[in-house]
Amino acid sequence: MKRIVNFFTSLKLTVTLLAFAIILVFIGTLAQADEGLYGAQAHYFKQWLVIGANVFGHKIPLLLPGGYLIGTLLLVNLVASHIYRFELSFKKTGIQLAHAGVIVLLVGQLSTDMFSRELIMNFSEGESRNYSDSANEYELVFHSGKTVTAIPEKMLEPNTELEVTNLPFRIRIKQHWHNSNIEFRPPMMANTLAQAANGIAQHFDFSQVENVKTMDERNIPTALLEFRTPAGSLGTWMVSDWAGDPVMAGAVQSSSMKMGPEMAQAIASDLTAPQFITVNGQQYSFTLRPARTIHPFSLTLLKATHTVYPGTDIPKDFRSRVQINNPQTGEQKREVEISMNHPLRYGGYTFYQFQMDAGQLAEQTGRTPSSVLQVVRNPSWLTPYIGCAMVGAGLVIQFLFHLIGFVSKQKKK
Amino acid sequence: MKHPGYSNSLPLIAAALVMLTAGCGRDGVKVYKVDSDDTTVTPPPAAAAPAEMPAAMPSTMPAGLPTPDNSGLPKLKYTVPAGWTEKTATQMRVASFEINEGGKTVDVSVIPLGPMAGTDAANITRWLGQVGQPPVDDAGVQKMAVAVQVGDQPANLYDLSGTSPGSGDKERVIGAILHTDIATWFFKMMGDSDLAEKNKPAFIAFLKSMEFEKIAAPSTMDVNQLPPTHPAIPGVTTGVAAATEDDLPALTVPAGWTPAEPPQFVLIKFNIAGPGDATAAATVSKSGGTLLANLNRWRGQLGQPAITDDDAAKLPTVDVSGVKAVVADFTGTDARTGKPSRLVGVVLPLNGQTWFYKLMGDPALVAQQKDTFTGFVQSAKYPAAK
Repeated sequence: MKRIVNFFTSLKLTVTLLAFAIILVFIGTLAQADEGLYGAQAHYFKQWLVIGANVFGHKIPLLLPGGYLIGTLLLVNLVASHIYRFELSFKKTGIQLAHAGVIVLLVGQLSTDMFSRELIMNFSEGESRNYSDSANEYELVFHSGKTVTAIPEKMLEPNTELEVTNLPFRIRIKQHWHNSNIEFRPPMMANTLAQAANGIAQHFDFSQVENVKTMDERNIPTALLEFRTPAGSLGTWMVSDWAGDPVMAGAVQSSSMKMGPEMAQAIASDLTAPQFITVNGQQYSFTLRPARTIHPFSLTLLKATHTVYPGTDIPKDFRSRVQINNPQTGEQKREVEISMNHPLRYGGYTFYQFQMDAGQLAEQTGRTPSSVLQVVRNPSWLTPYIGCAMVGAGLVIQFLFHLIGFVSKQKKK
Repeated sequence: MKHPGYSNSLPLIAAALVMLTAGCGRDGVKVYKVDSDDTTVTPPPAAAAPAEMPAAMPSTMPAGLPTPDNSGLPKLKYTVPAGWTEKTATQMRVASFEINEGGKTVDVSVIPLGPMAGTDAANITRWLGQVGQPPVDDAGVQKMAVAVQVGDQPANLYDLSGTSPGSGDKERVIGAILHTDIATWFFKMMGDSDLAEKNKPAFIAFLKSMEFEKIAAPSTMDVNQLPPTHPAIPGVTTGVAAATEDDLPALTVPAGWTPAEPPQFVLIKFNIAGPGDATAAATVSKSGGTLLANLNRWRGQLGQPAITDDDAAKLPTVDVSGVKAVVADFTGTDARTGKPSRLVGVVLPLNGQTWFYKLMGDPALVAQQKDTFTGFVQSAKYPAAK
């Protein structure tokens, strides 16, 4: 027991862990070039053990403690030392406060990792949204009446069967691609069989592509599903974020514009035609879309303003005027302006101005101005402030003790 | 020893543990209620594909590709039943009617489609979807089929009822599918269940009254725009001058082969009847394009993947009119009928033209007729090259 206590309270452990942390941050940062931000985060930092690394296009065999392991051990090390080494005395208040501040920082980071969410809210002028979409997580949703059943994309393991309590059918996952491409399937060229017997697969072919690496791209998942009841199969269907996300469907429409606007619209409406099955007289429509977080309030985009420096295309200002309606608190029609560096903090979320399709360009092409807000939910956003304040205050107190001691000693002389 | 810091740190450790456990549960299935408006995918502001579209058909053809060219299809003559209002034909529909009674409506359409029509199972499944019924497979379709006459040709009638997924009203689809050599014809009556029931005899009489009037209207489309694997398009010439009577070879017709009216761009056709309802057909036609493209066109008709030049080079040959002709023998599923099928074909390059002899149909019957067919091909005596 004593040896364990000695190990966890030793300063050597602290130094070793900090050394590993430096190596990990260094390798993890280099690896972002090969693996992309989210890939590197998952591989090195949101990980207990790191096996192998990618640096400058080469695979390096190595074994390192991951970010979770280093953070947890540091926390244990610090807490254990706190418990065993320090004593409660007025003179040591500063040291204790500073260490407690570091603990708050570590726990705050852990909770940020666990609970923070980065979401996107995309709307055109006049539209209201009471939800935000995840930027990199997806879900398979079934919509029946007013009930929505959302299954995270992670659960769509190929060659497995899902049974969800409130759905009267089983879902067999025949194929699942985390990133995919879409191709229109002109009937005159449709010599090969459609990938699924029903729905959008009649008009489109999907294929797997490599997961994206850079931050300005995103994966667009697609899955081939078969619905089954005890009475038999209800057929195979393709579900895809290409169809489930209006933004992607819009992209397909604009990339088809070379075939003419009518054709592009027809292709887009084939893509977004609702897919549904009917079981026991109940209709279930389904799609694969970015994971959605529902808010108890709604935002309406009143005006999106995009100004540029005169005579240039360089953006000067992005600005969204939104109206908040919250039936829970009775707050109605409160107008707020969101702009660069002036986010809106509301209901536990922070809304940052992110992207915009407004101004001259939108006007010229006849598009309704739209705005994209980055929505961040981080319940522990205050912990870094509190932690730093504690560390700062602790150091000041410690310094003052020493100063007072020094001054009084000098006086005695 | 007293551990004074312990009481301070305990809440932190507890909080960390709570977070760890809470973090684990966040990826499960979520169920929640919404205002229905918030979750529907908003389609772009265009009408969805009309309900009568056959399965493999988008609402419009992409530019650069030919729109369905019905000019190569026979014109229809029919008797319009009393109480049916004729509507203007559209790009898809060669005939269209509406029946109105007591505020209820039934829509009747006639749509011909080429090789892209899809299988019967796919089309019946699509119709079933329109009345909120689960899909069927080939066996299910065969069970549902009732024999009916479209003009003087046998076809299958399907009577499907259920409720409209959109409105929840009782809905009925009574439809007939007729396969001909150049197109699949969809005759469909859809709408209010009772009114459709009342008009079913009139619909069957309408089918019976159908006459296919042959017209000759060669299209000017350049098939070279199409990929080599492209199936034949009705009403489209193949870039080779149409054969005239004096081009035709003299052939010895085997016993049991019944001469039949050749469809457009087929020069000669024979029907062969086998035991039971087994049928096959032998045709002679002339076409352009490479050997491989034409072999793969045949393979496409049987739902088979394309072969390569190397594969084609391995095919056996037969001597016809002193020329080596390639013999193909493919088995698969007829893309038009969904039935197992075998195709024996002879490709004969002669005087700068390519002649295609094809025997296709029930596999057992084709096996039995293969030697007869080869003899038929070898009996060909071509007029001397000009």
